[in-house]
Amino acid sequence: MGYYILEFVVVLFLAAAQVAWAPGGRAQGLAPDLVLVAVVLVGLFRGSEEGAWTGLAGALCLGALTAAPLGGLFVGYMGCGVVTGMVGQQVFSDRLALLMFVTFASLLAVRLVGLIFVPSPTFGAWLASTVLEGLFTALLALPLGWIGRLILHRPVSSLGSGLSSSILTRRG
Amino acid sequence: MLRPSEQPTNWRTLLLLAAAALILTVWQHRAESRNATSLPERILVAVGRPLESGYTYLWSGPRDLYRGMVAGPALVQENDRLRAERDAYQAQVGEIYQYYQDNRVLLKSLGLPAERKPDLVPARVIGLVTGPSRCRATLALEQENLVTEGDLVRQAAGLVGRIIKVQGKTAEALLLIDPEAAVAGLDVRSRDQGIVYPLTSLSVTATALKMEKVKPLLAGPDLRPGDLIETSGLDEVYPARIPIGQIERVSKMPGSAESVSATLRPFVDFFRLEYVWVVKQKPLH
Repeated sequence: MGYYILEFVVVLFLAAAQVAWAPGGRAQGLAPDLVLVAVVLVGLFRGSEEGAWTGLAGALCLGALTAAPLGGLFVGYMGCGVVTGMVGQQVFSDRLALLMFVTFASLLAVRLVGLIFVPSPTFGAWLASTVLEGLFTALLALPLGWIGRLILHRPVSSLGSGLSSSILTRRG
Repeated sequence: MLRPSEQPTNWRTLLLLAAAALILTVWQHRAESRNATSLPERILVAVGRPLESGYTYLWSGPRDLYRGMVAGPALVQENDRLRAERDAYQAQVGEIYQYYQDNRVLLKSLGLPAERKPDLVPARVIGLVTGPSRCRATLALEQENLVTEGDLVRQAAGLVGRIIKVQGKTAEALLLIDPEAAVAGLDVRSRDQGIVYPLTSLSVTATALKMEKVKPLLAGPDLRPGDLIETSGLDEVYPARIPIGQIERVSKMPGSAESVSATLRPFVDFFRLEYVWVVKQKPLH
């Protein structure tokens, strides 16, 4: 239980950092989606359930801090956590290039869900901002991926070195 | 690259999480319908806003230090120059005060209320969300109950937006570049009136505003590049005479001499907002 609370706190810190991102460090006014990077990392390294939990926490924190409707955020972020969790079981998720690609694709998917819930006045502006934000976020996923790889243990090692004892205990 | 799946997904847990998300969404909608904020959001805002303020100081600290070290001598010179200017202006204060007193007497004799000085509340921007479908800023205030929904947000340069939600010592502001924003504008030179709204194009986010003339005057539309646009006050949301921007180019609709639109460059840099004034509004109705 403590682990999940800690994860929630980390996601809250990331959501606050994302919203308060320095004006000088923005690309065309856009900040990287740090919460999504966390959801992708947890999904890839820990599996669908924890990915979905991180998505739930991230959507709630972002929704509260930006006064945004929660419905679209939940669908986007939790769905992303579940799908990356499923993908993470089948690919070598610790490869950073793959992490960048999955982050970029996830952001596209999340923004597409957002587009359904809150339509953008012009599709072109939405596409341009989504691609730019996706590239920015994917780039930032690189250093966060390094950190995440150190902190988050993979449930199953692809090299067959066995299950981590902590994961075994937690998953029963 | 691929390896077989070794851990089956626990759909029961996922369903429980989805149910929790549904409950939180319904909770938010029910609270919004009462113009309130749901309890989980209130808790997260109470914890998250200080974090946002902390990050804002964290980002700006090294930059301010750098500016102080690099631009310090120049700032001292600038300060001296401004002091001299201030002394020069102070000499004119007596004369201006006399005009002010004359104006008050005149207003009283005409039975008009004395002009009210607007209440300005300084605020720091601690959060910024900009995108094609949403442009909002989170403001940190000194105390609670200083501002209310509908209050105007501006900088010395021009109009920024208006307050749409107040949460304790913080407030959400709808920026002028938000797709939902619109303001009645006035060409200072020609007195032409129109609606100013964000320019939505292939650009990533709206960095320009667009003005469309709504009512043809006797002389026809007269908007020219370089003209200054300010609020007209006709929308009864924003008061009159607040600068908005400057016309960059004018385009006329083919086939209609009366239809004209202009692209404005706003005076405010919406992507680099740090400090703003919240102007307390009197109830207009």
